[in-house]
Amino acid sequence: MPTNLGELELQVMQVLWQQSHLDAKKFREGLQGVRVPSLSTVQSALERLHRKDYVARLKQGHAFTYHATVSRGNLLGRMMGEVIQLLHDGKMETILSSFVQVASDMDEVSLDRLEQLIQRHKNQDGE
Amino acid sequence: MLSLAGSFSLVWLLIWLVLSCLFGLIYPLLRNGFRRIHPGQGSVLLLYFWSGPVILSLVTTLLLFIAPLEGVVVSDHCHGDCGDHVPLINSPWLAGTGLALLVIVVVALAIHFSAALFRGIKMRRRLKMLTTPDKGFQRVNTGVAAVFTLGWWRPEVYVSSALLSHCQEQDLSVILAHEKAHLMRRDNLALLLVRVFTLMLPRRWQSDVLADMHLLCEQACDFVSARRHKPVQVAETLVRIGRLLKSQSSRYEALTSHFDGSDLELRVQALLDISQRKRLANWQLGMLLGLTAILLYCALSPLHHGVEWLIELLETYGS
Repeated sequence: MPTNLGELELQVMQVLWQQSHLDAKKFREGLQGVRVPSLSTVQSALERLHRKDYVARLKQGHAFTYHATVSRGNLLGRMMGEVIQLLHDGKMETILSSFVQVASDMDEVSLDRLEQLIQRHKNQDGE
Repeated sequence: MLSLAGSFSLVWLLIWLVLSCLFGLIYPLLRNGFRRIHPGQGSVLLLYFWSGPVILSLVTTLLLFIAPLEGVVVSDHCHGDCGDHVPLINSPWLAGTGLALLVIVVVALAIHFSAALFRGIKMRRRLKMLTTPDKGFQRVNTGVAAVFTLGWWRPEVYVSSALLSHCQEQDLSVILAHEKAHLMRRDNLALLLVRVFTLMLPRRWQSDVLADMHLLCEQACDFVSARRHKPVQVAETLVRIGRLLKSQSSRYEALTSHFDGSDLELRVQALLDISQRKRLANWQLGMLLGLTAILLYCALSPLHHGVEWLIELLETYGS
Protein backbone atom coordinates (compact mmCIF):
# COMPACT_ATOMS: atom_id res chain seq x y z
CA MET A 1 0.00 0.00 0.00
CA PRO A 2 1.58 3.36 -1.03
CA THR A 3 2.09 6.07 1.61
CA ASN A 4 2.59 8.91 -0.85
CA LEU A 5 -0.74 10.60 -0.22
CA GLY A 6 -1.24 14.16 -1.45
CA GLU A 7 -2.16 17.02 0.86
CA LEU A 8 -5.84 16.92 -0.07
CA GLU A 9 -5.95 13.15 0.38
CA LEU A 10 -4.48 13.55 3.85
CA GLN A 11 -7.02 16.27 4.66
CA VAL A 12 -9.75 13.89 3.57
CA MET A 13 -8.34 11.12 5.74
CA GLN A 14 -8.24 13.46 8.73
CA VAL A 15 -11.94 14.23 8.31
CA LEU A 16 -12.68 10.51 7.97
CA TRP A 17 -10.76 9.67 11.14
CA GLN A 18 -12.98 12.11 13.03
CA GLN A 19 -16.28 11.21 11.41
CA SER A 20 -17.08 8.11 9.44
CA HIS A 21 -19.65 7.27 6.73
CA LEU A 22 -19.88 10.64 4.99
CA ASP A 23 -20.81 11.30 1.40
CA ALA A 24 -18.78 13.70 -0.77
CA LYS A 25 -21.05 16.70 -0.07
CA LYS A 26 -20.87 16.35 3.71
CA PHE A 27 -17.26 15.65 3.34
CA ARG A 28 -16.59 18.98 1.65
CA GLU A 29 -18.37 20.73 4.50
CA GLY A 30 -16.01 19.02 6.94
CA LEU A 31 -12.89 20.25 5.18
CA GLN A 32 -11.29 23.30 6.79
CA GLY A 33 -8.94 25.82 5.29
CA VAL A 34 -8.78 29.04 3.33
CA ARG A 35 -9.47 27.32 0.01
CA VAL A 36 -12.09 24.61 0.20
CA PRO A 37 -11.85 22.42 -2.92
CA SER A 38 -14.75 21.93 -5.30
CA LEU A 39 -17.08 18.94 -4.97
CA SER A 40 -15.61 17.19 -8.00
CA THR A 41 -12.08 17.60 -6.60
CA VAL A 42 -13.22 16.04 -3.32
CA GLN A 43 -14.90 13.21 -5.21
CA SER A 44 -11.70 12.58 -7.18
CA ALA A 45 -9.63 12.51 -3.98
CA LEU A 46 -12.06 10.02 -2.41
CA GLU A 47 -11.92 7.88 -5.53
CA ARG A 48 -8.12 7.85 -5.47
CA LEU A 49 -8.11 6.90 -1.78
CA HIS A 50 -10.58 4.11 -2.56
CA ARG A 51 -8.29 2.80 -5.31
CA LYS A 52 -5.34 2.95 -2.90
CA ASP A 53 -7.38 0.94 -0.32
CA TYR A 54 -7.30 3.71 2.25
CA VAL A 55 -11.10 4.07 2.29
CA ALA A 56 -14.05 1.76 1.69
CA ARG A 57 -17.41 2.93 0.36
CA LEU A 58 -21.02 1.92 0.59
CA LYS A 59 -23.75 2.87 -1.83
CA GLN A 60 -26.61 4.61 -0.05
CA GLY A 61 -29.32 5.76 -2.44
CA HIS A 62 -27.64 7.67 -5.28
CA ALA A 63 -24.46 8.51 -3.39
CA PHE A 64 -21.54 6.68 -1.86
CA THR A 65 -20.59 7.05 1.78
CA TYR A 66 -16.97 6.56 2.76
CA HIS A 67 -15.10 5.31 5.81
CA ALA A 68 -11.38 4.90 6.57
CA THR A 69 -9.88 1.42 6.45
CA VAL A 70 -6.48 2.58 7.74
CA SER A 71 -6.06 4.23 11.14
CA ARG A 72 -4.02 7.36 11.71
CA GLY A 73 -1.45 5.40 13.78
CA ASN A 74 -1.20 2.77 11.07
CA LEU A 75 -0.52 5.37 8.37
CA LEU A 76 2.08 7.14 10.54
CA GLY A 77 3.73 3.78 11.26
CA ARG A 78 4.00 3.14 7.52
CA MET A 79 5.39 6.63 6.94
CA MET A 80 8.00 5.99 9.65
CA GLY A 81 8.94 2.81 7.77
CA GLU A 82 9.40 4.92 4.66
CA VAL A 83 11.55 7.41 6.60
CA ILE A 84 13.72 4.57 7.97
CA GLN A 85 14.11 3.20 4.44
CA LEU A 86 15.19 6.62 3.15
CA LEU A 87 17.60 7.04 6.07
CA HIS A 88 19.13 3.72 5.13
CA ASP A 89 19.36 4.52 1.42
CA GLY A 90 21.21 7.74 2.17
CA LYS A 91 19.74 9.25 -1.01
CA MET A 92 18.24 12.11 0.98
CA GLU A 93 21.02 12.52 3.52
CA THR A 94 21.20 16.26 2.93
CA ILE A 95 17.53 16.68 3.82
CA LEU A 96 16.80 13.78 6.14
CA SER A 97 19.07 12.63 8.96
CA SER A 98 18.72 10.45 12.02
CA PHE A 99 20.03 11.36 15.48
CA VAL A 100 21.66 7.93 15.71
CA GLN A 101 22.25 5.42 12.92
CA VAL A 102 21.56 1.96 14.28
CA ALA A 103 23.75 -0.74 12.84
CA SER A 104 22.63 -4.28 12.24
CA ASP A 105 26.04 -5.51 13.34
CA MET A 106 25.79 -3.54 16.58
CA ASP A 107 24.44 -6.14 18.98
CA GLU A 108 23.51 -5.92 22.63
CA VAL A 109 27.05 -6.96 23.63
CA SER A 110 28.50 -3.95 21.76
CA LEU A 111 26.01 -1.63 23.43
CA ASP A 112 26.80 -3.18 26.85
CA ARG A 113 30.50 -2.62 26.18
CA LEU A 114 29.86 1.03 25.38
CA GLU A 115 27.86 1.45 28.58
CA GLN A 116 30.69 -0.13 30.57
CA LEU A 117 33.13 2.24 28.90
CA ILE A 118 31.02 5.22 29.91
CA GLN A 119 30.68 3.85 33.46
CA ARG A 120 34.45 3.39 33.74
CA HIS A 121 34.94 6.96 32.56
CA LYS A 122 32.46 8.20 35.16
CA ASN A 123 34.23 6.23 37.89
CA GLN A 124 37.59 7.70 36.88
CA ASP A 125 36.14 11.19 37.09
CA GLY A 126 34.66 10.32 40.49
CA GLU A 127 31.06 10.92 39.42
CA MET B 1 33.00 31.20 -29.19
CA LEU B 2 32.17 27.47 -29.27
CA SER B 3 35.88 26.74 -29.43
CA LEU B 4 36.58 28.86 -26.33
CA ALA B 5 33.58 27.60 -24.31
CA GLY B 6 34.21 23.99 -25.34
CA SER B 7 37.93 24.20 -24.61
CA PHE B 8 37.27 25.79 -21.23
CA SER B 9 34.67 23.14 -20.29
CA LEU B 10 36.77 20.19 -21.40
CA VAL B 11 39.94 21.49 -19.73
CA TRP B 12 38.08 22.24 -16.49
CA LEU B 13 36.45 18.79 -16.39
CA LEU B 14 39.73 17.04 -17.20
CA ILE B 15 41.71 18.92 -14.55
CA TRP B 16 38.87 18.32 -12.06
CA LEU B 17 39.02 14.58 -12.84
CA VAL B 18 42.81 14.41 -12.53
CA LEU B 19 42.88 16.44 -9.30
CA SER B 20 40.02 14.34 -7.84
CA CYS B 21 42.00 11.16 -8.47
CA LEU B 22 45.13 12.79 -7.02
CA PHE B 23 43.28 13.98 -3.92
CA GLY B 24 41.63 10.55 -3.66
CA LEU B 25 45.04 8.88 -3.66
CA ILE B 26 46.49 11.10 -0.93
CA TYR B 27 43.28 11.13 1.16
CA PRO B 28 43.99 7.82 2.99
CA LEU B 29 47.22 9.41 4.29
CA LEU B 30 45.33 12.42 5.69
CA ARG B 31 42.20 10.61 6.89
CA ASN B 32 43.44 9.96 10.42
CA GLY B 33 44.57 13.57 10.70
CA PHE B 34 41.03 14.81 10.03
CA ARG B 35 39.73 12.39 12.67
CA ARG B 36 42.23 13.53 15.30
CA ILE B 37 41.49 17.26 15.32
CA HIS B 38 38.37 18.90 16.76
CA PRO B 39 35.43 17.61 14.66
CA GLY B 40 34.01 21.14 14.26
CA GLN B 41 37.22 22.19 12.54
CA GLY B 42 37.79 18.77 10.98
CA SER B 43 34.48 18.87 9.12
CA VAL B 44 35.23 22.37 7.77
CA LEU B 45 38.75 21.37 6.69
CA LEU B 46 37.41 18.21 5.06
CA LEU B 47 34.94 20.34 3.12
CA TYR B 48 37.76 22.71 2.06
CA PHE B 49 39.99 19.77 1.16
CA TRP B 50 37.37 18.22 -1.13
CA SER B 51 36.47 21.58 -2.59
CA GLY B 52 40.12 21.59 -3.73
CA PRO B 53 39.72 19.60 -6.96
CA VAL B 54 36.74 21.60 -8.22
CA ILE B 55 37.92 25.05 -7.04
CA LEU B 56 41.56 24.55 -7.99
CA SER B 57 40.60 23.14 -11.38
CA LEU B 58 38.33 26.13 -11.98
CA VAL B 59 40.96 28.66 -10.86
CA THR B 60 43.64 26.88 -12.84
CA THR B 61 41.47 26.77 -15.96
CA LEU B 62 40.63 30.46 -15.60
CA LEU B 63 44.32 31.30 -15.26
CA LEU B 64 45.14 29.12 -18.25
CA PHE B 65 42.56 30.94 -20.35
CA ILE B 66 43.71 34.47 -19.48
CA ALA B 67 46.20 35.12 -22.26
CA PRO B 68 48.11 38.10 -20.67
CA LEU B 69 49.04 35.88 -17.71
CA GLU B 70 50.97 33.54 -19.96
CA GLY B 71 54.32 35.26 -19.43
CA VAL B 72 53.77 35.43 -15.65
CA VAL B 73 52.70 31.92 -14.78
CA VAL B 74 53.65 29.90 -17.86
CA SER B 75 57.16 29.47 -19.20
CA ASP B 76 57.78 31.26 -22.53
CA HIS B 77 57.09 29.16 -25.60
CA CYS B 78 55.80 29.60 -29.16
CA HIS B 79 53.26 27.96 -31.41
CA GLY B 80 54.26 29.61 -34.70
CA ASP B 81 53.47 33.33 -34.19
CA CYS B 82 54.93 33.60 -30.64
CA GLY B 83 52.04 35.77 -29.37
CA ASP B 84 49.99 35.40 -26.14
CA HIS B 85 47.79 32.35 -26.45
CA VAL B 86 45.46 30.05 -24.55
CA PRO B 87 45.07 26.30 -25.09
CA LEU B 88 42.20 26.30 -27.61
CA ILE B 89 40.54 23.31 -29.28
CA ASN B 90 40.23 23.80 -33.05
CA SER B 91 38.06 20.77 -33.74
CA PRO B 92 34.37 21.82 -33.49
CA TRP B 93 33.14 18.34 -32.50
CA LEU B 94 35.69 18.09 -29.68
CA ALA B 95 34.81 21.57 -28.41
CA GLY B 96 31.11 20.66 -28.67
CA THR B 97 31.73 17.47 -26.71
CA GLY B 98 33.47 19.43 -23.94
CA LEU B 99 30.61 21.90 -23.64
CA ALA B 100 27.99 19.13 -23.80
CA LEU B 101 29.75 17.21 -21.01
CA LEU B 102 29.73 20.26 -18.75
CA VAL B 103 26.05 20.90 -19.46
CA ILE B 104 25.24 17.23 -18.74
CA VAL B 105 27.10 17.37 -15.40
CA VAL B 106 25.34 20.59 -14.33
CA VAL B 107 21.87 19.42 -15.43
CA ALA B 108 22.30 15.98 -13.82
CA LEU B 109 23.31 17.61 -10.55
CA ALA B 110 20.37 20.01 -10.66
CA ILE B 111 17.91 17.16 -11.33
CA HIS B 112 19.43 14.95 -8.63
CA PHE B 113 19.25 17.66 -5.99
CA SER B 114 15.83 18.99 -7.01
CA ALA B 115 14.34 15.47 -6.88
CA ALA B 116 15.60 14.93 -3.31
CA LEU B 117 14.50 18.41 -2.28
CA PHE B 118 11.02 17.98 -3.77
CA ARG B 119 10.64 14.59 -2.10
CA GLY B 120 11.71 16.10 1.22
CA ILE B 121 9.25 18.99 0.90
CA LYS B 122 6.41 16.61 0.09
CA MET B 123 7.25 14.36 3.02
CA ARG B 124 7.52 17.32 5.36
CA ARG B 125 4.09 18.63 4.34
CA ARG B 126 2.53 15.21 4.93
CA LEU B 127 4.22 14.79 8.31
CA LYS B 128 3.29 18.32 9.34
CA MET B 129 -0.38 17.48 8.85
CA LEU B 130 -0.16 14.35 10.96
CA THR B 131 2.10 15.56 13.77
CA THR B 132 1.64 17.96 16.68
CA PRO B 133 4.07 20.74 17.58
CA ASP B 134 5.81 20.36 20.95
CA LYS B 135 8.61 22.28 22.69
CA GLY B 136 11.15 22.62 19.87
CA PHE B 137 10.10 19.53 17.93
CA GLN B 138 7.21 17.83 16.16
CA ARG B 139 5.65 14.90 18.02
CA VAL B 140 4.77 11.88 15.86
CA ASN B 141 2.13 9.74 17.55
CA THR B 142 3.25 6.29 16.50
CA GLY B 143 4.48 3.09 18.12
CA VAL B 144 7.65 3.15 16.01
CA ALA B 145 10.62 4.64 17.90
CA ALA B 146 12.21 7.26 15.68
CA VAL B 147 14.03 10.58 15.92
CA PHE B 148 15.08 12.41 12.78
CA THR B 149 15.51 15.83 11.23
CA LEU B 150 13.81 16.72 7.98
CA GLY B 151 14.21 19.86 5.92
CA TRP B 152 16.67 22.06 4.12
CA TRP B 153 16.97 25.67 5.32
CA ARG B 154 14.75 25.29 8.35
CA PRO B 155 14.95 21.63 9.30
CA GLU B 156 12.51 20.35 11.90
CA VAL B 157 13.12 17.66 14.47
CA TYR B 158 10.58 14.82 14.60
CA VAL B 159 10.38 12.63 17.69
CA SER B 160 7.97 9.73 17.92
CA SER B 161 5.82 9.23 21.01
CA ALA B 162 7.23 5.69 21.34
CA LEU B 163 10.71 7.13 21.70
CA LEU B 164 9.56 9.89 24.06
CA SER B 165 7.92 7.38 26.39
CA HIS B 166 11.23 5.56 26.77
CA CYS B 167 13.67 8.45 27.06
CA GLN B 168 14.32 10.89 29.87
CA GLU B 169 13.94 14.66 29.75
CA GLN B 170 17.72 15.00 29.66
CA ASP B 171 17.88 12.76 26.55
CA LEU B 172 15.41 14.99 24.73
CA SER B 173 17.41 18.08 25.69
CA VAL B 174 20.61 16.45 24.36
CA ILE B 175 18.86 15.48 21.11
CA LEU B 176 17.45 18.96 20.56
CA ALA B 177 20.80 20.66 21.29
CA HIS B 178 22.47 18.25 18.85
CA GLU B 179 19.93 18.88 16.10
CA LYS B 180 20.02 22.64 16.66
CA ALA B 181 23.79 22.49 16.15
CA HIS B 182 23.23 20.81 12.75
CA LEU B 183 20.95 23.70 11.84
CA MET B 184 23.42 26.40 12.98
CA ARG B 185 26.35 24.73 11.23
CA ARG B 186 24.39 24.21 7.98
CA ASP B 187 25.57 20.58 7.88
CA ASN B 188 22.97 19.72 5.24
CA LEU B 189 24.63 22.16 2.86
CA ALA B 190 28.13 20.94 3.75
CA LEU B 191 27.14 17.31 3.04
CA LEU B 192 25.57 18.30 -0.26
CA LEU B 193 28.69 20.23 -1.29
CA VAL B 194 30.99 17.32 -0.40
CA ARG B 195 28.74 15.02 -2.44
CA VAL B 196 29.03 17.35 -5.44
CA PHE B 197 32.77 17.92 -4.99
CA THR B 198 33.48 14.18 -4.90
CA LEU B 199 31.39 13.44 -7.97
CA MET B 200 34.41 12.48 -10.05
CA LEU B 201 35.64 9.91 -7.52
CA PRO B 202 34.94 6.18 -7.85
CA ARG B 203 31.79 5.24 -5.88
CA ARG B 204 33.71 3.41 -3.13
CA TRP B 205 36.03 6.36 -2.50
CA GLN B 206 33.12 8.77 -2.48
CA SER B 207 31.26 6.62 0.09
CA ASP B 208 34.30 6.71 2.39
CA VAL B 209 34.58 10.50 2.13
CA LEU B 210 30.85 11.00 2.75
CA ALA B 211 30.95 8.62 5.74
CA ASP B 212 33.87 10.60 7.19
CA MET B 213 32.09 13.91 6.63
CA HIS B 214 28.92 12.53 8.18
CA LEU B 215 30.82 11.26 11.22
CA LEU B 216 32.66 14.56 11.72
CA CYS B 217 29.41 16.55 11.46
CA GLU B 218 27.71 14.26 14.00
CA GLN B 219 30.69 14.47 16.35
CA ALA B 220 30.82 18.26 15.99
CA CYS B 221 27.15 18.48 17.01
CA ASP B 222 27.73 16.03 19.87
CA PHE B 223 30.49 18.36 21.07
CA VAL B 224 28.17 21.38 20.85
CA SER B 225 25.56 19.47 22.85
CA ALA B 226 28.30 18.52 25.33
CA ARG B 227 28.92 22.22 26.06
CA ARG B 228 25.45 22.45 27.59
CA HIS B 229 25.36 18.95 29.05
CA LYS B 230 28.29 16.87 30.22
CA PRO B 231 30.05 14.83 27.49
CA VAL B 232 29.25 11.69 29.48
CA GLN B 233 25.56 12.58 29.48
CA VAL B 234 25.59 13.01 25.70
CA ALA B 235 27.37 9.65 25.35
CA GLU B 236 24.77 8.00 27.61
CA THR B 237 21.94 9.44 25.53
CA LEU B 238 23.54 8.15 22.33
CA VAL B 239 23.78 4.61 23.70
CA ARG B 240 20.29 4.76 25.24
CA ILE B 241 18.65 5.94 22.01
CA GLY B 242 20.80 3.50 20.01
CA ARG B 243 19.60 0.64 22.19
CA LEU B 244 16.00 1.74 21.82
CA LEU B 245 16.21 1.96 18.03
CA LYS B 246 18.07 -1.35 17.94
CA SER B 247 15.34 -3.07 19.96
CA GLN B 248 12.89 -2.51 17.12
CA SER B 249 15.38 -3.22 14.33
CA SER B 250 13.97 -6.75 13.92
CA ARG B 251 10.93 -5.06 12.38
CA TYR B 252 13.21 -3.31 9.93
CA GLU B 253 15.94 -5.93 9.67
CA ALA B 254 16.12 -5.71 5.90
CA LEU B 255 16.51 -1.96 6.15
CA THR B 256 19.38 -1.90 8.62
CA SER B 257 21.50 -4.71 7.21
CA HIS B 258 24.04 -2.46 5.52
CA PHE B 259 24.60 0.13 8.24
CA ASP B 260 28.17 0.68 9.33
CA GLY B 261 28.33 -0.18 13.02
CA SER B 262 31.31 1.98 13.83
CA ASP B 263 29.44 5.31 13.88
CA LEU B 264 27.93 5.10 17.37
CA GLU B 265 31.08 3.65 18.89
CA LEU B 266 33.30 6.37 17.40
CA ARG B 267 30.93 9.10 18.58
CA VAL B 268 30.88 7.77 22.14
CA GLN B 269 34.66 7.40 22.22
CA ALA B 270 35.12 10.93 20.85
CA LEU B 271 32.90 12.32 23.61
CA LEU B 272 34.79 10.46 26.32
CA ASP B 273 38.11 11.78 24.93
CA ILE B 274 36.76 15.23 24.16
CA SER B 275 39.78 17.06 25.60
CA GLN B 276 42.13 15.31 23.17
CA ARG B 277 40.49 16.72 20.06
CA LYS B 278 42.31 20.05 19.66
CA ARG B 279 41.83 22.70 16.98
CA LEU B 280 44.70 23.58 14.65
CA ALA B 281 46.37 26.90 15.45
CA ASN B 282 46.04 29.86 13.09
CA TRP B 283 49.68 29.65 12.04
CA GLN B 284 49.16 25.99 11.04
CA LEU B 285 46.12 26.95 8.96
CA GLY B 286 48.11 29.82 7.40
CA MET B 287 50.89 27.43 6.45
CA LEU B 288 48.40 25.07 4.82
CA LEU B 289 46.93 27.95 2.81
CA GLY B 290 50.38 29.20 1.77
CA LEU B 291 51.46 25.72 0.71
CA THR B 292 48.31 25.35 -1.41
CA ALA B 293 48.97 28.70 -3.15
CA ILE B 294 52.62 27.77 -3.89
CA LEU B 295 51.58 24.36 -5.27
CA LEU B 296 48.95 26.01 -7.47
CA TYR B 297 51.46 28.52 -8.84
CA CYS B 298 54.05 25.80 -9.54
CA ALA B 299 51.44 23.60 -11.24
CA LEU B 300 50.21 26.21 -13.73
CA SER B 301 53.04 26.00 -16.26
CA PRO B 302 53.12 22.17 -16.45
CA LEU B 303 49.31 22.17 -16.64
CA HIS B 304 49.31 24.63 -19.55
CA HIS B 305 51.75 22.44 -21.51
CA GLY B 306 49.93 19.26 -20.44
CA VAL B 307 46.60 20.62 -21.65
CA GLU B 308 48.10 21.71 -24.99
CA TRP B 309 49.60 18.25 -25.42
CA LEU B 310 46.28 16.59 -24.53
CA ILE B 311 44.30 18.77 -26.96
CA GLU B 312 46.77 17.95 -29.73
CA LEU B 313 46.47 14.26 -28.91
CA LEU B 314 42.64 14.35 -28.89
CA GLU B 315 42.51 16.30 -32.16
CA THR B 316 44.95 13.91 -33.82
CA TYR B 317 42.90 10.88 -32.78
CA GLY B 318 39.65 12.71 -33.54
CA SER B 319 40.68 13.47 -37.09
